[in-house]
Amino acid sequence: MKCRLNNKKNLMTMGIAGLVLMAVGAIAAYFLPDEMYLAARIAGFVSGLGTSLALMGFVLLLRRARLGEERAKDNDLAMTDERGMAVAYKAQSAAAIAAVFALVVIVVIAMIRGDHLYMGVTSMLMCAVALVKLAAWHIYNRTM
Amino acid sequence: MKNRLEELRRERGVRQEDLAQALGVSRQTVISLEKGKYNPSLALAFRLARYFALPIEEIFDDSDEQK
Repeated sequence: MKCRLNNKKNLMTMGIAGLVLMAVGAIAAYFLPDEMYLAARIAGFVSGLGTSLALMGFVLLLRRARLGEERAKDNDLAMTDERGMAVAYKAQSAAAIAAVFALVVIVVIAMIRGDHLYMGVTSMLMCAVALVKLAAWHIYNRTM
Repeated sequence: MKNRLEELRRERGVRQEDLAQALGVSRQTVISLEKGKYNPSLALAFRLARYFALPIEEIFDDSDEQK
């Protein structure tokens, strides 16, 4: 999700939506009977999602207020201009490499623990990632 | 790649903020360009050339790249 730092209204909406989700999730989790285990889990997830959204929205609002109007605008532009896009692309590539290594670590741990389900699922995910990369490479190689 | 952006900007008495605004990029991008940390796209290089009314090769020096 691209959240523009110079858009006060977006950030405020995000914060308020987060607070609403957090409250709804927390209230639902509190009042749900013990036997509705799955629903309570979903309510907990909604509440957690709301908390993250609210925190993100209000922290970015505070940052915007601290930077001032002009610098906030420049900051926003820095995230979306061509250098910002190049930086984001590099960061995304680094994150993708880290994610693949995380999968390798999970496979190794699953092998040590003898957990066949995790080992199988993670191995399949690694194969899927490799296939997606191969397909994407062919597509971009033709179109660029 | 080396460039003469800082020199040209100073010659014309233009602030980094104003150059950034004219090019439609952030001040951070102008700083990176001037320091030679970031090489611009062809489109941005043309915008710079038009802004300074100079050919691209008078702004950017690719002699390092050719070695």
